[in-house]
This record gives sequence, structure tokens and C-alpha cells, in this order.
Amino acid sequence: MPVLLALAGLGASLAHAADPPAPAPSTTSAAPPTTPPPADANARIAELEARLAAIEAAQAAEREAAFMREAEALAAPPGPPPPQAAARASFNAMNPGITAFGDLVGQVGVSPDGVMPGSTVYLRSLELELRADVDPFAKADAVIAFEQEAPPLDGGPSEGFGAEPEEAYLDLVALPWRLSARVGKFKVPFGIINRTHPHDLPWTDVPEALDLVGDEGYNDTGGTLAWLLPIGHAAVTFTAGAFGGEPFDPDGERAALTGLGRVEVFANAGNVDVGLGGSVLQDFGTGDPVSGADLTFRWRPNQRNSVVVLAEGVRGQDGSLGGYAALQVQPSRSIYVGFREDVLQDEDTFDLKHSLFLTYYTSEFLRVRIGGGYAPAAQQVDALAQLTFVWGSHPVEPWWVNR
Amino acid sequence: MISFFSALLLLASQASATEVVCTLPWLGDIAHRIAPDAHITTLARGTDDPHFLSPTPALMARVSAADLYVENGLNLELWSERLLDSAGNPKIRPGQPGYVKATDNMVRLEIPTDLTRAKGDLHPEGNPHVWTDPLNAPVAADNIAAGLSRVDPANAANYTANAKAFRAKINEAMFGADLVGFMGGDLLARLAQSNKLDEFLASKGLTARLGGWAKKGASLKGKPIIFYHQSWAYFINRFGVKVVGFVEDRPGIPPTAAHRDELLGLIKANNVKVIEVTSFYDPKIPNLLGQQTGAKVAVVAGDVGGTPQATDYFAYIDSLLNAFTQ
Repeated sequence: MPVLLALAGLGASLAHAADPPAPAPSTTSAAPPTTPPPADANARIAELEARLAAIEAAQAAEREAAFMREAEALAAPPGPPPPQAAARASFNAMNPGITAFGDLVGQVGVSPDGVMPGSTVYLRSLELELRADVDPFAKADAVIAFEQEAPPLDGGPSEGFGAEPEEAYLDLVALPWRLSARVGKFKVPFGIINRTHPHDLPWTDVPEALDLVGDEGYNDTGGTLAWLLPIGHAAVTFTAGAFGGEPFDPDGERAALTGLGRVEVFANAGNVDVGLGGSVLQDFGTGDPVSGADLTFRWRPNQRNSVVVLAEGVRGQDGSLGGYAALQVQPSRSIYVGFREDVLQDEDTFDLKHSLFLTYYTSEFLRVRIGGGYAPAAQQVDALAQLTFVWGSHPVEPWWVNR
Repeated sequence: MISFFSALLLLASQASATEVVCTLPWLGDIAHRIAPDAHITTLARGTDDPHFLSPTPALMARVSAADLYVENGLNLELWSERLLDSAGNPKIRPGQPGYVKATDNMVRLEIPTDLTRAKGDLHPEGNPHVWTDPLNAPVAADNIAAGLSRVDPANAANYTANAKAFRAKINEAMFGADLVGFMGGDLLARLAQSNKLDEFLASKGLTARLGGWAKKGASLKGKPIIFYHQSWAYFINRFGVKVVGFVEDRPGIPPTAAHRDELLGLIKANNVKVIEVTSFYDPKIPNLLGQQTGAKVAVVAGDVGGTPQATDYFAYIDSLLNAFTQ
């Protein structure tokens, strides 16, 4: 309102100021002399112009403010947005993440006598993995496995299911100085396949060389401490561990620990990853070590093509030697083709086995794989068809696993 | 002798530089703008699918040396947890001063109401591909600046100023210098975030003054496009693209033959002219669909560095708009 009143007053003043000046009295000259306006009129004009400018500025400011108010009314409020999808207010939110792995296998064996009697279908394993943070410094992981031994191909009864805590361990994740530690019962980090669950391997079966590390591998209770040393684009990991030694002394006849030492060199150059490792398991009860060396090579130019080479050699406690070398090619996003050569040598025998594998993923949670092997010494062909399915929370896989 | 001492000084300055490790290239690019003197390492490349990076020991080694770890979060880099757990570097773990989740304080889209794998590979906290909306980049910059200020408080003022300058640069690139000069970039950004910018500018007769990405992207409003994966929610929301369908059956699930037939029908029915495929996906099926329908296949960068054109964050957004407006 004051603005309007001021405008009205100013308008009247301007109208008055714009009136032509009254004519000057006539003199002897025909042309009227030009006379400057009175000084007070000029001042009056200047004052009115200033008032007009001020009013126009005020109006402009008001228009601008109204414009901004209108824009602000439509705009999102400044500052962070309101919280979305708050964490579930439930004690269940603290429960472990659960992942289940099913591994269904169909096996067919063919010998010179024909199809072998143990050709059948069975659920090789069902694993339940439970993972959760324990506190800011540790994470716990447990894998409870329900496993069925493979029915003997040459016939005979299957042993049925056995259940055991395959792994139950604590990872200390907040250690300084590039250290990490694991305590509990777990697959000991010896080589490549010993620390990998069978359903994570790129094959339908497990190389027999694993039995040189321990019966179906070395899984024991104890602890490891690992130190990571960065060297440019490479890294060296030194791992030392101590374990109860149960796999070397299943009957519990002596008190002797087993020590683990492992060195792993890993290098990356563009699309190529290379890992070289050496491991020793020392049974302090007998003094006979198990030693091994492993190689991992991966070339992955993109997410849908890759080439992986895995090779591992093991010397068992009794001096037996074994190992495998495997090649896997990924020609498309969902398909992997692989070949593996196994060798096992003791005092009396030298066994070879040649195997081929074909894998298809429908998604990272469902996989179909077929594999076939030929053992020349036994003149035996075996084939496995495998369906692996994963459900539950998303597990994080080691880098050498397909996906 | 002088060059020897210069080299020593250079080495010393490099040794004392703040070590910043970013999981994704767009975060590395922004971190470099906020802290040009820091040593920035990016773990994934623009040509990598960020869902499936392998947590190799080489990456663990890089993380082990970090003063600041910046990740996208929202369950995108599932591999990140393994790196943090194995790096032996407690100062960058979540909750510590050296940890930054770049998507904090962002409005998330596509938070699933029904969390089941039957719907594909869902992200429980919402769609994590936030960086395809340029207006999310300044929020990430603020988060990174805050993290840098925590681990290097002596330079906090610089980081804050650089984040502010980055926000101004993004606003200018988004709306054009003229309109930003007239209305202010922050107000324009907030109008855009409330999806009221077009309406407001039209009501004031200001549409012609709109410039930048917003002007270029105006032709995308309602444009029917087939996308490969559900990673464009934020771009679609910002530029008003009409999503006709996805090449993947469901997120992470390759298309079946039936789904391909369905897409063919959708492309014809909606007069789709562009099929998007991110550079790390197999273009075979999009090419097949393109050949059968005449639609163009746009191979786009999933992140900074994903194509030769996407050299930095600004060039990345340019490259997306060039590809989709073709």
C-alpha cells in the first residue's frame, strides 16, 4: 500500500512537472527570449527523477523476490533429502546373512564292461553359510555342510548324508599394518583348490591331488596371520599359521601341531592377472611336510571373454606327487569351456586323467555344468552333470572363481 | 645435482600426498577435481562392469595404502567388502574417518518393495547407478570433500571451495551460463530435482534461455528407448526418456528367445529408434534387434573411460547425450 500511495503522489508531481511553463511577458523583440527555468524547478525535477528511480528499483526488487519465491515454492528444499527406506526396526536385522548352496550331481561311468552300476543322481552337498559382523573388529562366518559321498561307480551302497561344521571362523578385519588374521576351523590356505569349496571350482569334480594335502584336503582348527606387501602393481602375501593337526592325526594318538607357511606373489598388468604361490604344511609330529606350488593366470579383456589357467603341484607326506593343469576359456557371457589334466604318482603307479568341462550360467546364482574324464590306466570314462544353485544373500567370491 | 634434489623433492611430495582410493572412475574423476594434489587411484576401469570386479591381491595392496577410501555404495561394489577386510587398513573401514560413501544424501530411485531374486539381481537399497544424473555429482563431491577434510584438515578450506566450484561448474554445464547467471545454479538444480523446472521456465517465458545439457536433453523427453540393463534410472528420471523395455529379461538375467520376440514387438509398436548397450555388455542381441527393426544401437560408456569419448565426467555426460539424441 505505501508503494501505491507513493506512486500516486509521484504521478501527480510528474504530471505537474511536465506542464509547459507559463509564457514570459512580451517585450519589444518578436522572438521570446529563452530564459532558464528557475533553479528550484531543476532541483525539483532531479528529486522527482530520483524518487522515480527508487520506486522502480523497489518494484523490480519486489518482482524479483516474487519470482524467486515462486521458484522456491516449486523447488526441492535445500539440504539433504529426507531419509528413505530406514533400516528395519527389528532384531532380525542383526541376524547373519544366510546363503545356501545346492550341488546336485548326476554321474555316469562307462568301463569296458559297459555302463557302471554306480551311475546315478545324488545331492552331493547342501551348504548353509552364515555371515555377520561380530563387532567393528571381527566378522564371523560358518559353513554347515550336509554332504553325500559319491556312490561308488563300480557299485555298492552309498554312505548317505553326513553333516558337519565344515568351517566356523572369525576374521579379524581391523588389524593395522596390512595384517589380516583368521581364527577357527577353516579350509587352510594351502595352494588353490584346498581353500576353495567344491561348488566354487570350475570343474564338476575335485582333482585327486587334493588327497595328498589331506583326506579331501586339509581343513583344520587353528589360525593364520597374513601380511600384505605392495610392490608397484604387484603384491606379495606372507601367511603363517598353526593348527591342531587333526587331519594328520585323525585318531588323536599324539599331541602335535601343524604349521603352515605360504608365500603368494600376485601381479596385475592391464587385463592380465598372474598369481604364483608356494605352500608348506609341516606336521610337527612326524616331521614330514606337505609342500606345493601353484600358478594362476587370467586374461580378461572384458566381462564376457576370459582365459584362465590354473596349475598346482603337491608333494604328499609319503613322497607321492600329484597335480593338475587346467585351461578354461569363456567365449561368451554365460558359457565356459575347460580342459584339465590330472596326474598322480606314487612308488608303484603313474595315473593320468584327461577331462573336459562345459559350463552355462543362467545367472550368477544358477549354473549347469557337464564334465567328462578318461583315465587311460583304468580305461574308464566317467561323466558328471552338475546343477549348482545359490540362494540367499549375495556371497563375495574369490577372484579366481568364474564370476 | 639440482635435478637430483628436484627428484628427491618430488618423491617427498608424492610420499606426503593424501592417498585416495576410489572404487569407480567417476568418483576418481571428481576426487581429482576436489583434491588435485592428492594421489588418486581408481580400482575399476570405465570398461569394467562395476558389479563384477575381482577383489585381487593387487587391488588389496592399493587399498592397504589408502588414507581415504571412496565407494559408491548401495550394494553396487560387492567386491569392496572383501578388499576392505583383507587390506589391513583399519582407518578406511566403514564408520572410520577415512571412509566415504559417495551416495550419502542422494535421493535413491527404484528401492524394491518386494525383495526377491525372482525379479533378478536387485539392489536392496535402491538403484546404485546414481552418476548418470549430473545433479548427483555435486552431492558426491560434497561427500568426498568432507572425507578429505577429515583426513587432511589442514586443507579443508580448499576441499570445500573446490567442491563448491565443482557444483557451480556442473550447474553451468547442466543449465547454461545465461540461465545460471539469471537465476542461480542451485535454485535451478533444486527445481530440476523437483521435476518443476520445465513448467516454471515455460510459465515465465524463460525456456529459450535454458542451455547446457538440459537444453540438449530436451529432445529426449518422451523419446522411446530400449536399454540393455537397468542402470539408467537416474538418467531417465533427469531427462524424461521413455523406457520401452530392457534387453535383459530381468536385471542380470540374459534375454530368452521369447523376451527377444517381445522386444521386437515393442520396438515396432513404439517406433523405437535407439537401443542402448553399455560398452562392457555383449552387443550381439542389440545388434540383432537393430538389424531387424532399423533401430540404431548406441554403444555408451557405463562410466568415465567406458568409451574413448568419455574422458572425464563432463565428457561422459556429453557422450551419453550425443549417443541418445542421435
